[in-house]
Amino acid sequence: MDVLLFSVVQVILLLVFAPFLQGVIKQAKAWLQGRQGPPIMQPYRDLRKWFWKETVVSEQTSWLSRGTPYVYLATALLAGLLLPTVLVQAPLPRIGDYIVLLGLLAMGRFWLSAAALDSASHFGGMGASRELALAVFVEPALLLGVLVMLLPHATTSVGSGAVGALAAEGGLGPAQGLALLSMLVVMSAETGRIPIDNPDTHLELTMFHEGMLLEFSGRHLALLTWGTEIKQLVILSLVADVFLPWGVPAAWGAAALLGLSLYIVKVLVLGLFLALVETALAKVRILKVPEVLGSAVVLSLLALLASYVFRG
Amino acid sequence: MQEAHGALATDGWFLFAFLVWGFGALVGWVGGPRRLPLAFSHLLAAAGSVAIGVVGWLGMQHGVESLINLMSGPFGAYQVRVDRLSGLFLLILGLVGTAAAIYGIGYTKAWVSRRRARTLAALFNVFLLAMAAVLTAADAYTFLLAWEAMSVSSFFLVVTEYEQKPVRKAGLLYLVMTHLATAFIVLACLIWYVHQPEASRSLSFDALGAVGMQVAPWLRSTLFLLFLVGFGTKAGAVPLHIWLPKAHPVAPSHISALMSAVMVKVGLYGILRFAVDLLGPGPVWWGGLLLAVGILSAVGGAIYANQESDLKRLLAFSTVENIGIMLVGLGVAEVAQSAGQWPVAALALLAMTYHMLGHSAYKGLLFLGAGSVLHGTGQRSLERLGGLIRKMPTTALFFFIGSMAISGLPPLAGFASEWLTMGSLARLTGPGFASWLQVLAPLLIAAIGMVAALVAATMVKAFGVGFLGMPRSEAAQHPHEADSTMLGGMGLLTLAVVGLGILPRHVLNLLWPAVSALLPQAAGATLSLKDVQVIPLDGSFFGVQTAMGNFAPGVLVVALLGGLGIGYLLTRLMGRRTPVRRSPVWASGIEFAPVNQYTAGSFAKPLRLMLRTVLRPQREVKVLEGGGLFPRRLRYRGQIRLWLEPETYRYAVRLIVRFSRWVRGVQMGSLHRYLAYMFVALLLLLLFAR
Repeated sequence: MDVLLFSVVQVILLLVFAPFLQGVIKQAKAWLQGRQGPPIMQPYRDLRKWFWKETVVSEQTSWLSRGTPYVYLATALLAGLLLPTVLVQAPLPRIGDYIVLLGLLAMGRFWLSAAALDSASHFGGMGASRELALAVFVEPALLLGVLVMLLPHATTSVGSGAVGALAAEGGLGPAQGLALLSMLVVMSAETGRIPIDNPDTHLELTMFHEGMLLEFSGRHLALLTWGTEIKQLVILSLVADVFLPWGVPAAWGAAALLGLSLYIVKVLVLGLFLALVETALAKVRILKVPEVLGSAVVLSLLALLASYVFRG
Repeated sequence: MQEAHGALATDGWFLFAFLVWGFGALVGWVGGPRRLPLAFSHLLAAAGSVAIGVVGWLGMQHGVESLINLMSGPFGAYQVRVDRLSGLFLLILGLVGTAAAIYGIGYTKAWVSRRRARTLAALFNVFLLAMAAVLTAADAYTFLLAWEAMSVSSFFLVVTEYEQKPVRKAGLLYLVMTHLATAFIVLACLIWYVHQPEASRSLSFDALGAVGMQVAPWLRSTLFLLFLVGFGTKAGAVPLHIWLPKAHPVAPSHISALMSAVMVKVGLYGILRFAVDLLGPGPVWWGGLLLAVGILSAVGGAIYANQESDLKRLLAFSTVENIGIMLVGLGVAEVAQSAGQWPVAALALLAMTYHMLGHSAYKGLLFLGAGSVLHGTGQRSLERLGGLIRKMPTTALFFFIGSMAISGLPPLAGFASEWLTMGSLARLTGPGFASWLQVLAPLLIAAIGMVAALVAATMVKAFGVGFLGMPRSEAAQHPHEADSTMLGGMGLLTLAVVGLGILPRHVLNLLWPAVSALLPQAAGATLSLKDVQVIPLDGSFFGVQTAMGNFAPGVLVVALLGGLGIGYLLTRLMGRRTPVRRSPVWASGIEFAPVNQYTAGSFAKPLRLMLRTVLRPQREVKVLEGGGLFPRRLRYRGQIRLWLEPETYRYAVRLIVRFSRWVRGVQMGSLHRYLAYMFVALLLLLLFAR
């Protein structure tokens, strides 16, 4: 029962916080770029609007397009349940460890890419092929960057890794710093932001994720957008849990409120970092994307070597 | 009494299987290419497969050693035996054999009234029989005889459609390569035989195993390499894999399924039996070599599979990739054994065998699905398919589940084994391993992650371009769904795929006897998975926990369903559930035609560009009619250049021919030369033969 309650609380936290995070990032980008920008609450209004609008699908679609929005949201939520947020342990760690988390995100991506082809739209094919090609280079970077931090504590689970990091009292040494740099690059790629993809436009040049969503409308679009925002929150939470684990309480109580606010602050800081990167850099050409992600892999490789050189 | 009873039961099932297959071959040949004998022959093949599966199951349960000495030959008796290791492989053979045979009942209807149908049916049974013989041979002589029978019968099955030139070329390449491999194996067995003490020379596995550890280290390494080359060719490891993408696609689909799902595993059985079980543990570079070959096969196979537009060739390359992952698991096991860490070795072997089991199920399923597509549309190329999900819904569903499994998505079969493989690699970072291994292991994990992403991209392409959207050709517009036996065969494998994914604890319990039989430190003791630290996850059904992580697919499925429910709840709470309206797809205002969709080639284009240094793509565009700004007809040809082609081997062949021509110079025909040879030989003998 305890676990169930915790899971429900975390699900509500993810659902409520994700659009807020998106709104803050958009507002920060606007402020940095000297414009007014949409209000912070706009993502909530967008979601509500889409839920009320009519849902239209292409004539060519099958059951896959009908099911994908639900599967995508479910996998994003489940991935979020595997991460610690308020407390130092995750609500449902017995489902799996970090590799299961990546597997769940991969499942969502698989269904969405297939559904993009389902509508027979060429924009869907474009978005799907690019997103899957990007994933080929993001997956090794994601794995390496986080595992470099987790493996020294003899675990592949993020919660246990955070506990281990707190117990080790090492702070941010050179290995951790390099791994953090690597993960910051991967963060931009996995959340579909500049310099990899532009989340604000639906133009052909920038169609990775947006291309796949083009043929969805109404409640399908609402669920998919919410799922995307939750996935963004999951990635940022992952970086916060692995690299910034301080101040997270171990049990419920008064300290949990502090834990919650610290979590929100950490994630918002990472979001602001994303906004800064989006403003400062330009999108790279698709052909250069493997180079950018390759640099992330090299950084985590250096972190791996550093963790052996600077140990004992 | 219990043991004897168990042995008798296994013997009985074993004989039953062989007799049924023999009868099936007879019925197929004598009955001629008529519908009923063909169907009956395949039904008998299915019955035999079920029986051999039972043999495998019993073998794994009891470790039954039913030794049947058939007759005496020049090198000793023909010995047949079922032990824990061969039991696992017999189980795989039984599963896929049954599914392929049931599928074949419907699939071979297209061959009725063609003379080669009788060969097809007869050889199908013979092929199954030969594979079972290979797996149950207890001495090298029987093994090699059965191996040859398996190779030859599969060759004839591959060239069923021999009128087409590519089929003949592929078959010839396959025949040559498999005999090259057999030569290596024979050489290794002979060397091993010769190095036994004179008195007790024997080719039986017991005798070979007894001597295995006492042979000189350099000789053991030589034997290891010989076996690796020989069996690696059959398994399809890079760089010996070049026959696989040519031979597997041209065979009839249920034969392709058997070859990709079972025969390559027989190659792995050879490695496990000879190089691991009988030869014993070796220096750490053995494991390192396996890791290198494994990761090269995995990455190479995945990259080339991604670029293929031919559905069956895509699946063939994907087999190379999966074999690579299995070899990585085996490499970890060998490395761990050299370091004396047998729990890690056991974990790695569990991962490898789990992947074998899972791969057989979903690769068999995917090939049978491709066969249904070929059967229903006559097309094998993804560029000519599309929209099949409407007229072939069941095949599409099965293929979708198979695609998800092979991409390593939880909670299906492929994920559990890849999770275990990554887990065993993660254990290599612990203390007790050399520092180069501790640094290499996370890189290998990252490489496997990349491979998984490549496979996901490949299978989305295969399913999306093949089954979804609009049909890209006339043939794809009017497909007909596979008949009930074909769907039955596919359904059986789908059940296996789902079961293997959701029940990892039970599968691990199943695999453990075979794995513990391979580890010498485990001999004699009753071990449990606790020693390996793969234990049931407390409180969650079907889950497993290792020293480093945990995974509970049962809870995951329930949680996923809960997530779907949350989505539904949100649509109810936050809006109104109006019915979904269907409308034409938006295509920037033009009238949409199937040609506007993404093709398989264009879907693979981003990766083709990003990986162009590896793939070396070539493109040729020729204007045939018209010109200037408005050409009327174009010819477009695009291809990627493989690094390893039969032509690469041609260089080695040319070298050998040149060398033999040079050696031929010894026989000049001059009498004086021959007298000189005899004189020199006599001199040398007098000097050295004291």
